[in-house]
Amino acid sequence: MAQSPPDLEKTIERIQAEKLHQNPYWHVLLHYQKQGSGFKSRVDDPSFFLAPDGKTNPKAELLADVRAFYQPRDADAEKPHAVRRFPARFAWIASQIGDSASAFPVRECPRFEKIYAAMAPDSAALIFPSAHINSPASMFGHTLLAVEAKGQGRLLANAVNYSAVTGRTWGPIFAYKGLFGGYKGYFSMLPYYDKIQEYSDVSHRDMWEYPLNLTQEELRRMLLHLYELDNIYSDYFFIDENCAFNLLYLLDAARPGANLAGQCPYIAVPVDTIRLALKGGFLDGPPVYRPSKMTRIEHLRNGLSGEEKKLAREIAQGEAPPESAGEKIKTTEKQARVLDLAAETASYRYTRKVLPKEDYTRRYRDILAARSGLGRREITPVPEPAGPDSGHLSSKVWAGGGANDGEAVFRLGWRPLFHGFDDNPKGYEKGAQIKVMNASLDYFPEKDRVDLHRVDLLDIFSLAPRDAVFKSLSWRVATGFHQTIEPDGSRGAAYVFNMGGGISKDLGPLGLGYVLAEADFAATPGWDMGYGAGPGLRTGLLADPAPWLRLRLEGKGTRYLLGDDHTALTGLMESVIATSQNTGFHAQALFQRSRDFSNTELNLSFQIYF
Amino acid sequence: MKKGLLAAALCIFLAISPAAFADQSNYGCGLGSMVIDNNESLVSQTFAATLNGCFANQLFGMSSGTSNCDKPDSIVYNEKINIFVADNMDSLASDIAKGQGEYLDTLATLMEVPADQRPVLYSKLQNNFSVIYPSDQVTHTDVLRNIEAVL
Repeated sequence: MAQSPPDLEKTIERIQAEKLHQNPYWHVLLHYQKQGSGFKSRVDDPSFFLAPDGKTNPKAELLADVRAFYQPRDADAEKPHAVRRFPARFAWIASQIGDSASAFPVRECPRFEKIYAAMAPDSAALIFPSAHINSPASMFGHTLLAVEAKGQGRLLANAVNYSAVTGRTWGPIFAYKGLFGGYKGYFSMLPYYDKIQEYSDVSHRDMWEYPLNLTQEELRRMLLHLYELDNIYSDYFFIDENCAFNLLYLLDAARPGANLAGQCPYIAVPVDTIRLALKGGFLDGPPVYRPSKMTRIEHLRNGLSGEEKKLAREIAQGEAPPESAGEKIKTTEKQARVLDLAAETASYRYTRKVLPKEDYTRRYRDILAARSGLGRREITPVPEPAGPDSGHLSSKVWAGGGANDGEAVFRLGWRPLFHGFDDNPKGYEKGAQIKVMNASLDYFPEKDRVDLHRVDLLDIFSLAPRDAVFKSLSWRVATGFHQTIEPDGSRGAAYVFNMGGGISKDLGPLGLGYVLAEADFAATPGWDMGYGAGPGLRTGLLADPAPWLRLRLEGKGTRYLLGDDHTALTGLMESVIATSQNTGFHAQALFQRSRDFSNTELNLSFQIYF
Repeated sequence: MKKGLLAAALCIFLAISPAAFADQSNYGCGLGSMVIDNNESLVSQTFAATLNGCFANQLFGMSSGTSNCDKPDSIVYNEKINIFVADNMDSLASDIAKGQGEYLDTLATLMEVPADQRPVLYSKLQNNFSVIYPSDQVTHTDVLRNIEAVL
């Protein structure tokens, strides 16, 4: 050996002198976050740390790791050597201490090298499966990573996914545990085509693939870090320490100095991963759009006449043989399209468990056999909607003014999450609303009085258009404090809970039309018996004629039968005009009638997203 | 505070229906063996999607999911091709019927067919769809044997 091995204590001295434990990259590798005057790792698994107080002490952990790296090759027959357990930490420490690194008795991790060689990573992409129609939690979307080998194509990529491990649990317990860290989150890796099946084919979620500009060296560092996280858990929190947040550590590990996790907003939604990656200079060109099976079916139907669509449906349902496409339809192009649509529809019905497996496989095979006789046909690509990164940021404030029964009023509002029918439509799933803690205040200058206008604790509204193929239901659930008209005609506030279900239909240029039967409950001391409950009916139209324009008309009636017996009617007209990605105007006219009193409210606000 | 309110709201909402979480792990080797939607109700879809793939697996210890399937006796096809075809039976069948598509491209990549020879391969497979998929009972092993036979 060219130089004599410096001893452990010398290395330790050097590390202490250079204050390596304060290096931001060390904090990335251990997921340390500032907490009070000290640090705390977001990782909760004790086996991730070698020092007893490693979770909260970056210095003790660094020194413990260095000592472990100096252990002889076969110091412990039971456990793998620390270098083989934490190759990312080792690689970084070795690079920091330069020549002294050659003194380590173990300097490589053969298992990692084998995996690395097998994966042959060449590029990576951030994957964003968009909202799940009709599924509120997934309305936020999800993010994962796909690591691709050279020349192998996207399907064969490895999908790196961070998710919570849950069992079968009753809903409320599930929500509670999810919010307060009752579940453990782990990284997992699967073939990307499995993820496509899961999201695109089964959950009907369009996917966006954002290519990353990671170099070979950066990909290696990312995988080294991922290797250390194998079977290591962190408590999973839906709101902040979720999939979006944890993926950021992989990017931070890939590129020292990026510090994306540190910039993550308090409430992390999956699209924030994309936004931070974009801001941090990680994205390489525009995303690739992967339409879901549902979107593909809609696209195929758009090019067909009513008769042709009907035939495709009959073939998919086994009411007409696949050969009838050739008999009833003139052009080969249209025959192919009808059969493609029939095959996709049969598959859709099978994944929804409407079609039994035996019927499906036979029919699917026969449709494809008929299709194969029509040769190669040009496939028109599905038109690409605006990507999720083009949508407004998740939080919003607004200010404006108007009139309430002719009286001037100024309004201020705030909503931390996420997207509603009163927001810039671009980049968001149409017909999906999920508002959390939407609150606004009204100031009446004539009376010099401030009123709480409304607080929507949670307001979810899902409009999934129903047609011959998609038997979707639309529904809403909302709870919060709203303005009401008191029995004497004055304005008051009530706690309200409202839920309902119904259907919506795509009315073409008119937008989405919807009708919902609802149940309403309101509690306020001013009402007879202090509450009212009864059935309601809601109907409306939601249209997005342009990416910067949204219009909505809605009427709602509630017949309070229990408690304070009365009828309440509401009419709403609203419009959003986006002036940029993160600004826009919202205009609204709201008419309320209750008992013999009515109230008309006009408002124009400017909205800013942040 | 914010979390508390949100938790309360979600609890009310989820109390409406017991959420069921699906074990989405039915891989196989025939048509129709893709993952299907096991969520029974509208509301139960809620979180299963976000928490997809809920398993504490070994990150780097991937199992192929084809251990119960027959291995083809042909030496032409390696394990990677077997796994890919078994896992993507329906999508690959669709691409072969159309004579194009990402799954067909991936098969050609795995078979190491150069780009200039692919159009010929694709139309040969398309023209022989009924030979490759003689019935809906074919397994991925049959498919690979039949592909080899028509080439």
